[in-house]
Amino acid sequence: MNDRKISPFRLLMQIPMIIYSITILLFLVVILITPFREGADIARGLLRLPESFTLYNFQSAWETGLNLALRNSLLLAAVTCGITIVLGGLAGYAYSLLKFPLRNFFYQFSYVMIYISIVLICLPLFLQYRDLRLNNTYWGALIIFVGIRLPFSIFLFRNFFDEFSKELLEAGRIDGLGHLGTLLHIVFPLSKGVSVTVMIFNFTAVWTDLLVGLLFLQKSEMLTIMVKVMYIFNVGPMATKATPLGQGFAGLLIGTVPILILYAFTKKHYIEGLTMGSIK
Amino acid sequence: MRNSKWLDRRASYLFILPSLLIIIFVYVNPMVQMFTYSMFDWSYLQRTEFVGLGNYQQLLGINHLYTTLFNNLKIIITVVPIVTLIALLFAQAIFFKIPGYKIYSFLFFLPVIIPDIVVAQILTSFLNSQGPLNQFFRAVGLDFLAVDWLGDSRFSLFSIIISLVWKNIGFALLLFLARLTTIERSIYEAAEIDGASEFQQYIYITIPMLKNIVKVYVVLQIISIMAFLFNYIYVLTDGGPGFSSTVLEYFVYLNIFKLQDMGKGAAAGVLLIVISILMISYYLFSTKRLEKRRNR
Repeated sequence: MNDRKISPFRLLMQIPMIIYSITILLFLVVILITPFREGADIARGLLRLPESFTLYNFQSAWETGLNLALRNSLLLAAVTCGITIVLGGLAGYAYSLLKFPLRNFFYQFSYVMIYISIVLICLPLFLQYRDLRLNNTYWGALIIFVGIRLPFSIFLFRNFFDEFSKELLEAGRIDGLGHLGTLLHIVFPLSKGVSVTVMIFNFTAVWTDLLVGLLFLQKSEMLTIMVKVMYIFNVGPMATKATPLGQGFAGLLIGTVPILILYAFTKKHYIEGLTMGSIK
Repeated sequence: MRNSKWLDRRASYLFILPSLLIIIFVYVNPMVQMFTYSMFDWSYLQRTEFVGLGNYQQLLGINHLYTTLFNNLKIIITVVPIVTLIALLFAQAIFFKIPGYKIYSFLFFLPVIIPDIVVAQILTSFLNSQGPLNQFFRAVGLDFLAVDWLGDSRFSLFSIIISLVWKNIGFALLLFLARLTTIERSIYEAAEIDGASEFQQYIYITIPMLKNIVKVYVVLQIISIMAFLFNYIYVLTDGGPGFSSTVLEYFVYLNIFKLQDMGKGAAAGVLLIVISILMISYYLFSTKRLEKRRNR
């Protein structure tokens, strides 16, 4: 196939691809530049050339509690990743490599949950949590995050273990390693890649969550990053009317940067997980 | 031998039990609750009396329910084909390494990873009636296009559709491209030597190779549209004006939290649970059939 060839298809495709690229670039410019403009300057128009430069937006966003929101989201996301990797890894291992009655039933049962809207589960849980007094506790929210992320984690791990070398496991058995020994000495060291994949998906999901934070972490010092940013933008029940636009855009940038950094380092794993998630 | 089998089982259950319990608590328990809630009358998030299927009867009498279901359908029949088609063409172009393909594949990945709430919030600013889009339309003399994209019931759903298309192209593109790269380039070279045009190569090589992944993508995308639009709608339009941009998922949320009508909200929730589970079962069933065919 000649890569240098010029054909009508190749020429024509440039048009929609350039248009789509321009919209993405505009989007990036707005995300990256707006937080550094003064409020009055932003009000002139998002795409007007900036006439001011300021770091005040970051400072004031920080002072209104964005720092706490960052800490909360970071902690919740990290702990959720840790728990889902351990529990999801164990379950995925069992569903893939061990034989036991009702294996497929249990697996498909958890698989189906990947596609259940979290709106449906959050509302009843909200009432239960109210009665159990778990509302506005980090532990309560953490259980929900872990629960929401487990089905997909199990799915990724199981797919990974389906491709795992059976000979290696046999060798472990023959050498007298038990289940735990096989796990510790053979399986874990070889599962780093898939664990990173699971980590990326789960970290992103918790970081970008809106609904769970909105319902279960309502105290002002407990807000998660996206909820906080939405409040700054006057979206939602706890919005205050007087907030300057610049603060909101500062929040958006701060909320986006960690995800961009994460993907910059792990794009390969992300794409692996994504294709694994859909092809199988 | 028997002993090791027993050990196997014991270990298996030990391994799956923690996640199973959490999934039951976080998914099954609320879904069952939703079902019981739908059988009661409610006032201010407190249960009052048992009404059996009364809520369902009332729900089916609400016109807004059909508006929201129809909105789901509108989103599906526009977003899915448009995204699939654009992504297929883009994937082919990048696969052919058209000039600039490296920049394109970098840029097109960005909307996939930028959080949906950030996308929705920035688009809210863009589509605002005084926002950049309308400023642009006015500047080039297309004043009739400078409408209230989010606040007018004729355009609010359209705005959500545009946002979804913009955000989802990259995901489909990555998927199709990943499949394309598994095709041996020599097949194309051989076809070219035999005098096949680029269009013929597309029809006879690319499409058959991508058929299965496109099918899978379409089904999963439809299921996702039923279940994962909350963030977009919450930020962009809050389902409004009226119910013009509400989908079934958001209808459940609005009924329970905004209208404080737990009974009808739960009934709508059960409807969504049933729809989702039916679609996923169909998906599982059809992929199993595909696998069997492949193994034969």
